[in-house]
Order: sequence, then structure tokens, then C-alpha cells
Amino acid sequence: MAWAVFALLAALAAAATAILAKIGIEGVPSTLATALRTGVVLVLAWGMVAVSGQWAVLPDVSARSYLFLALSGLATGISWLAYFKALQMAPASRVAPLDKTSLAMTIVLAALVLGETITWPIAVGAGLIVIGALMTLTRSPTAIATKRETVGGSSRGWPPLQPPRRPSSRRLASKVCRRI
Amino acid sequence: MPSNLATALRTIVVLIFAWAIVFARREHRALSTVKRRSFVFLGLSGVATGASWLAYYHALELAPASSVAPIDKVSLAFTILMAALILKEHISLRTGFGVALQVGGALLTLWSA
Repeated sequence: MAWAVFALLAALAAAATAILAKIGIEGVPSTLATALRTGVVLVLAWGMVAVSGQWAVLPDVSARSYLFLALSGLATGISWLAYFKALQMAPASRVAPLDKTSLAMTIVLAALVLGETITWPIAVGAGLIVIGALMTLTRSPTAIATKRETVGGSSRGWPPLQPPRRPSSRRLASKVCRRI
Repeated sequence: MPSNLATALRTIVVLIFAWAIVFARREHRALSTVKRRSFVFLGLSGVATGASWLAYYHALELAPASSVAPIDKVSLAFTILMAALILKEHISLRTGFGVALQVGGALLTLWSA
């Protein structure tokens, strides 16, 4: 069962990535934060290559492989930059579920681009991932309350919590006018 | 191609891309204002990503992917749990249910594997 320990460790470390980044990204431009973090990931990734002795394969890598790995790297770069920008703007518990829809998107793209067959369990699973993500997207009551306070209601369709202020100030103005 | 090597090559592109955008947006000027605390936690976040990959590949060496993949898919639940415990984020019942659906769905995609 040693494999299960490592698999659990992989899941825990993946989860810790978001939590640690959420703490670290405070007050740092998100692109800069992503770039700094990627530097650390790069060192670790090449450390793993060195330890496993996979250098030897490098001369045999085809141009096609390089091209698609580079494109994949660009896609990862966009994904990370967007993820950490979102992490800077919202709680990690709201960003992570949406990010997970990538699994459903991968399944759809694998079918469309790679022509992979989608079995029923996979289709239902992808559907549940999307439905679950949509559920987390709905605003929590506290989020709505703060939104009302800051925006003053109405602009996003939420009914105003307090009566609009303008009439009262107008009343005040008319009082002042009368006094004059 | 070995997966570790592919990941390492890919990360070079990610690094160049990220820094290119940093310089294009002149965000490198903010480097001097980055607090020590941010450096530490962003660094740890990078280490966590690396550790996650390392542990995942090591698990794959010990057991078939069909055994390893389901546990890896549970990481979303861990993220939510840690967000509540460490970041003290409020997790609504709705979010909890949505995430449970997602984790269930993710596990279901491995059914035929």
C-alpha cells in the first residue's frame, strides 16, 4: 500500500499549491507571482529528470514532439497565469472548483481533436463535474450581502437592501433651501 | 518520451512565457516591493507542485494508473478542506455539495479504466 501513501501525498501537495499561493500572492502582481513560482517548479522538474537519468533521451526527441510540448507549455502558461489572477481576486474555495472543469473540457477536446471514444461513465462524470462547478458558482448569501453594501444594489439586479439615499439628501437640500 | 522529461521541457516554455508577460507589463518593477512572506509562500507553492508531481510519478511506478488516478482526483476536496481550515474561508453547503458532485464525477470518469 506504499503507492497509496504517495498518491495521497500527490493529492495533498496539489491542494497545498493553491493554499500556499493564495497566502503568497497577497500584494504581488499575479503575473510576477506566477513567474516566480514557475522558477521553483522548473528547478524541481529538472531535478527529477536528473535523478531519474532521463537526460539520455534528449537527442532522440523529434521536432514534432518539441513543437507540441512547446504549445502545451504555452497552454499551461495561460492556465497558470489565469488561475493565479483568479486566486488573487477570489477565495481559493471558489476558484478551485471552477478550475476543475478542465477535466470535463479535456474529455470533450480528446473526443473532438484526438477522436477518442467517450463511454457513458465518462460522459456522466464530465456532466457531474460541470454541474458541481455551476453549483459552487452561485453566490453565497454572505457574498450577496457584501455586494449589496458595496454596490448599493440595483446594478446587478439585486434589490437594494436600504432605500436609495438620494431622496433623503434631496429632502435635506430642500430643507436647506427653505431655510434660506 | 519519459513523462518527467516532457514535464521539465514544458516548464521551460511556461517560465519564459510567464516572464515575458511580466516584462511586457512592467511588473518586474514591483519585484523590490514583494514582501519576504510572499517570496516564502510562493516558493513553497512551487515546491508543493513539484512534490505533487514527484509523489504522483513515484506512486505510478509502484502501482497501475487505474489505482493511482482516483486518489489524485480527490485533491479538489483537499483544497476546499484546507481553504476552510487554513485560510478560514467560509464554505457554504451549496459549495460543499457542488464539490462532492465534482469529485464523484471525476472518479466516475475512471470507471472504464
